[in-house]
Amino acid sequence: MRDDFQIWVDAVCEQVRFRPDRKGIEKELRIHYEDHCKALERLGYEGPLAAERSLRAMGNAQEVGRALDGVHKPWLGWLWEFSRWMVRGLAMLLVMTMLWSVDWDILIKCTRDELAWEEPPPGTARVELEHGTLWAAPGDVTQDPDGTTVAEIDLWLQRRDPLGTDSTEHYYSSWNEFFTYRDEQGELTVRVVDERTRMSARSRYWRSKYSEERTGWTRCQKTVELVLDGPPRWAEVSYPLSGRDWVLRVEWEVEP
Amino acid sequence: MRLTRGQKIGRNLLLSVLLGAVLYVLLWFPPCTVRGMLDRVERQYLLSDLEPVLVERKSLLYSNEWLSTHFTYLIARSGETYIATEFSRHGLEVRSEWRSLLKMSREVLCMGLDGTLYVAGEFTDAASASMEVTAERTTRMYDPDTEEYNLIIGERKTFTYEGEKAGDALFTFRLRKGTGWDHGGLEEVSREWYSARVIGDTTGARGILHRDLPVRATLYGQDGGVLDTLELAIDNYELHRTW
Repeated sequence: MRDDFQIWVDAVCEQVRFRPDRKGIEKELRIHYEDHCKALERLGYEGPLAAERSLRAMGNAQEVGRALDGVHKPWLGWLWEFSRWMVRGLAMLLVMTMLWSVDWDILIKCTRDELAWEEPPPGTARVELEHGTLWAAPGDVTQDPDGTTVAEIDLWLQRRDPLGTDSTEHYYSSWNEFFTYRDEQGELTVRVVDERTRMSARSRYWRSKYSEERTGWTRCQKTVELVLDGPPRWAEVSYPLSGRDWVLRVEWEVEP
Repeated sequence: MRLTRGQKIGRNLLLSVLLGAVLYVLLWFPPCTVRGMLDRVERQYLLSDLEPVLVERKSLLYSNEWLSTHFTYLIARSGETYIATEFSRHGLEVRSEWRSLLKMSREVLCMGLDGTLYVAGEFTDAASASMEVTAERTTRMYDPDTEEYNLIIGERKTFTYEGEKAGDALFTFRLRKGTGWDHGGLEEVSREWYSARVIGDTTGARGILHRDLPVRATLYGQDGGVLDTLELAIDNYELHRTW
């Protein structure tokens, strides 16, 4: 058998259209009711009389219900429920991603490379591109034991945003992959391997120096080695495939 | 301080935005649309104004995973420059160039995928096209004693295909008649004819050699006359990859 309060509170809750709140409303009304009962009992009222008076003081069930329905608007309630589930879902996704998908080594390296950025020296040749700024400067020129000359070109790229970077780039950094390098003798090829020895076939090619590479979120640095027959005086870096006709020229100081 | 329901909604939405942003960064800003993928390529390779020429999608469910991997293969162009690349999505994670590196060339580009060879270029005036791909049996023998490699060239075979125009910038050439590889067809040959072996090895192990196969595409006008002949090359791995 439902007691009188239960009948009253059920009638109140029926007026509230946002069902998920009904339990909470019932709980709160019950606390009010019981507090009121206890207060009356302290004043000397008998239990049944205190219950009856307290219930009467709670008011008309329909009116109370309608008033509560006005406060517990369904659209607000559902929006709140949705926002709670969204936070929980995203938090769960984040935890799962952090546990299984994120390569923390790469993420840390990327951040470290970003912070280790060294500004290009003043006066370095530069070009403003749509997605970033590119610099090129002459690096060391050394002589290999086989008689070829290795001339380094240092490249810097500062992207306008980090949207051009992804984890694959840390295995294979490719932004200069299709650049063209030329010196006074003409254009250099990409490193070519001899079919028989699997060694580089000849000089006059370029290769990336991976040990010097830094790939940050927006700031990248790398060194390209030009393998030549002799010390160069100058070299030009360009990117005809991009459809833009910029050229970065680097010059080495010739010893007197 | 007790928050009202409206304030709680505001707090939750703010928290969602924050969590979403962290997730987006941790996943390396995954591009979800073709435009997003092309934007990524533009930023990565310092290009601009790429527009899609071909979008091919394939899904694959590995036996040890419960989420499919979705591949998107793209050919795009910007002016006279053409690129071919691929993105793969697994759950929320999107990776570029995971299985094959981006290709970039001027004026014309070809890409092989799942029994079809795609040739992209400026083909507005071309009504039809044919293509010849020449395969040459090639074995690279490695001698562990001398540490030298010897290249043995064997028979040669030319495969001819008729193209189908798929827009002003694309011709497709179907390499197979049915759904599977044709016996002795280009797909099979591109896999079986290119080997890397070690002298003295008794296990029968064989590596598949990467070789560029010469491709000659001939474009015909409305009157059937030859408009142009294009000399291209394609890696044999692209000819036998099915996804």
